[in-house]
Amino acid sequence: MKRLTMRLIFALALILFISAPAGAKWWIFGASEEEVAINYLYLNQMSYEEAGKSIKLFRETLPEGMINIRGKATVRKGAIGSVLVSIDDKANWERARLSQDGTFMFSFKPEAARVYTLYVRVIDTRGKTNDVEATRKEVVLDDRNITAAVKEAMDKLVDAYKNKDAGRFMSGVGEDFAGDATNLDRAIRRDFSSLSDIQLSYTLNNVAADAKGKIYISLNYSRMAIPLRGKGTLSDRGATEFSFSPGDPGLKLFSMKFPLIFGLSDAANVATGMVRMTGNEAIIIITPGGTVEKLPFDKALKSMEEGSASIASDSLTSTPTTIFESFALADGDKTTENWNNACNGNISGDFGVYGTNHHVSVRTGVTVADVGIKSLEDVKAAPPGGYVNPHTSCGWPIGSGNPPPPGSTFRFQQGRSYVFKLPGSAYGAIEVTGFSGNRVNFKYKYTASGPNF
Amino acid sequence: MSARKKWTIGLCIVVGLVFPQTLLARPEINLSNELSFTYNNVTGPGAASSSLSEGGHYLNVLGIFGNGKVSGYDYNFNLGAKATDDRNNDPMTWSLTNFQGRISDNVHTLSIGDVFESFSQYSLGTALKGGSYKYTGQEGKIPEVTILAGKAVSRWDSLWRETKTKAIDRQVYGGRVKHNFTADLWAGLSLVTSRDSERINDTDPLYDNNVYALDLEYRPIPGLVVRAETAFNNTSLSPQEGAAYSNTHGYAYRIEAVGDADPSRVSLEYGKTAPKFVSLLGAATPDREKFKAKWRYKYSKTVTLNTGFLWYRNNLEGQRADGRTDYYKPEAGVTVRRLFGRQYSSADITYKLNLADRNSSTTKVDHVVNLNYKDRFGQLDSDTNLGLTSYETKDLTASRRNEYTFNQSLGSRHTVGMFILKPGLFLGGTSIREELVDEEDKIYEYSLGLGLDVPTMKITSQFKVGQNKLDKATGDDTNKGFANLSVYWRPDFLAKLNEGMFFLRAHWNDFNFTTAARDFRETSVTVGLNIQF
Repeated sequence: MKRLTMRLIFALALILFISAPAGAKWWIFGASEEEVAINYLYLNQMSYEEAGKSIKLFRETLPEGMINIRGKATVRKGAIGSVLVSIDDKANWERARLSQDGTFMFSFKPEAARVYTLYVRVIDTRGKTNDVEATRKEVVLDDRNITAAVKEAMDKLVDAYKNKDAGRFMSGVGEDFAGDATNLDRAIRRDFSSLSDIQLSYTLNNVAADAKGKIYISLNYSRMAIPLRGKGTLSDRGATEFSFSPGDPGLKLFSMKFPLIFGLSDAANVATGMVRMTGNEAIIIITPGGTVEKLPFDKALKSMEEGSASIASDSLTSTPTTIFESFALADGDKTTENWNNACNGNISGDFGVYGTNHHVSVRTGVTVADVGIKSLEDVKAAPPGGYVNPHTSCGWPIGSGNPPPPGSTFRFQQGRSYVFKLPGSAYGAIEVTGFSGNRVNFKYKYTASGPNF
Repeated sequence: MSARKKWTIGLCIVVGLVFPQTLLARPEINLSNELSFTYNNVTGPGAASSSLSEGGHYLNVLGIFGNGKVSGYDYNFNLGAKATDDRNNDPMTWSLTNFQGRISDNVHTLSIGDVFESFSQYSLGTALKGGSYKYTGQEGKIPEVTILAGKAVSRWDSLWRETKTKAIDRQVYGGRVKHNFTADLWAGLSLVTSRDSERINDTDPLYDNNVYALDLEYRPIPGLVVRAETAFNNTSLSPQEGAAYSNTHGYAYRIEAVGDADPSRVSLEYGKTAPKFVSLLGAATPDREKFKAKWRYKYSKTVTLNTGFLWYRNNLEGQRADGRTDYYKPEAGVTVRRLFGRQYSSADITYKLNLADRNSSTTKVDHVVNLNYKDRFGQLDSDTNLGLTSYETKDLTASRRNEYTFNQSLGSRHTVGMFILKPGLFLGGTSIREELVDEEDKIYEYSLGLGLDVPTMKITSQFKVGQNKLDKATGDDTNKGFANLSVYWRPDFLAKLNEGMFFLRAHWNDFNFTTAARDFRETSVTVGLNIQF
């Protein structure tokens, strides 16, 4: 039903959009009643109206060093008399080459650093003209090579990102960003929420431009991030690719490939394409649940593609009647715990395993649910209920040295998976893969914003 | 000799034969070079966390660009190289960063080296190392034809299989025919084929991929443009070493309409990409149906309204175990300039909603509200930003995290004799509160800056010092002190080289954590010279 509704909305909008007769454009409330109009305008191969009010061009992208203005004029009545172009803010007008069907062409060779203020005037045989002001555009030829311009645009993005300035960052992103500017805006805000500090530097490896002014770059990056949640300071380095399109002012980010250096929180939507790491080096990612992790490239990619929390393996050891280990699901930290705290919830990690029968100790404020014989990959979401606090029914006289009575407390069993409900909206899940003496081997995953992993 | 080496040498010979000839025709050549030396010092028990390379390192970036005309052909070339001993900067000591040449007579265009021919969104939008030829029909009577061949690798040294930068060998061939049927309508047909070989890791997937795409653009009335594209793929995939190839097929299509005439700009976009659509060289998100609308309306010279709506969903073929998720992302904003009649004032308020709906039940609702106000009070420029973001999880277990952000920057500019002073102050704070567990993390940052310019000596400089603190409800707190300095000087004696600049950049970070074993300090000083001629 929802699908049908969305399609109907789109179809209706498109019909309204396209069926509007010339001069009665509904999206401007019929405000445009021009008798003389310009159907389209191109500046070299760029759409004139989408290039912004002012545009920087680079010599390397100009065909024969020229700027070509190409368009088509229409009139309601009569015929087109002439098309004039001014490149000096209306001080002088030059005649464009006009064809019978209304198409016209005008070319000039720009000088570096000079600002050209362009206008296009179409005059019909009755002397009526188009909305000349609407064709105003400032064009400047940037004599730097493209690499310098890309560096300027990249520096602006990196600086805004490091300073967690979402507004300034998005001003360097094009409206037509391939992964949707809306998604990138949300994703960088999520990044800023997940990271308390970001250090990022980059160097350009490769810069190439096409005739439409689109610029492709590959870069190396090096970064350090301090996650807001979790204890570690993470650093990584790698290579990735971006593309930029001409904008107002300067270049605007058009696309980014995985691994990402911006918008890590929604990599599946923000990244278009991927640059594979040569040695499967570990990279920093932010899971859809908001967890900051450093994973080998393959795992990070899988996490991104499946939109799910990554799975890692670990183990815990217990020395009966002496000490046992607890485990923090958010960052994988292990802590040696005093045996006397096995049942009172006073442990550092989220859970621990004690005794030869693999009884479960759980931190105060954390509960656990047995989700049955299931692989961790199949645990896609935390169950709505069935959580218990094992330490409240421990039933074992602490310090007595006696083994706990079978079945009287919550204990791990091989092949079963367990979900931990953590403070806030975080969840962790483990699958017990085996036992070796007093060691419990398990796989685990975590989400800071559950219940979906 | 391997085929790859032959290919590379062949390319170099073509460049070597063609471009020296053109150089004889008095080309215009621009050269830029930036040489810098950096010294990094990292100390403290947590020094391994720093992303800096300890010790002294050099970096040299060279760029050469030239253009000219010979025998009726325009040509340009672009060559770039980088040298560094900083392995955090680049795994290679020497690397070629750009290598591009183009020659054209307005009808025939030949490009070699770094080739970037963007065919269409689904088919090709990636730079290649290779060559392309384009025939541009005069007056649009004959179709425009482009053919290309090359390797899809991002670095030149990947092409000659340097161990440190080796990438999967992806050989690409492509062709495109584009024709202007009328002055208002053109259509293009693209075919891009790629063949992968030589895995780097056993788990690397190898693709043999063909993408066929048809795209068009139509302008029915002034101000309105309609674009559409449909594409199909035929893919063989071997997911890892030893795994047999399996064949898949997919499709993608999109249609977009943009109406642009003052005072309004409206864009509508609908697209669908099948789960098995693979575009290795274009841009597409598989398993996606999407509708997007944007409307920008200039209500008056000082008031602009912006609205947008994005919807997309996955599970197009019911293949996902966790079912279907729909995302709804509407947003609205208004910008008012010259508020209260103040010449330099500008206020901007935006509201964004992010709603996820899994299997018809709402799972997440995020609200983002942002208020920005800029103004000038006397000689003081002020920029105030207030933000509220609420992340709410609504299904199985309700949770809500509220983030409040406040930033205030004040800046000024004073001329004192030959000096221009630009003092600045920044105060910022973020509070992140988990409502259910009543926990709050707080981030504070404050900094002082001073810009000092001496126009007569062509010196610009900036100094900034501050502190960034993170107070966490649970876990390690962080306290970072920082300072950075940058100085740029364009001395007259370097002006003879067209443009020349000395620079000094330095930064110092002192990271302190509750767990002292994580503490570290990093100091970095860079001096360099940039010249252009």
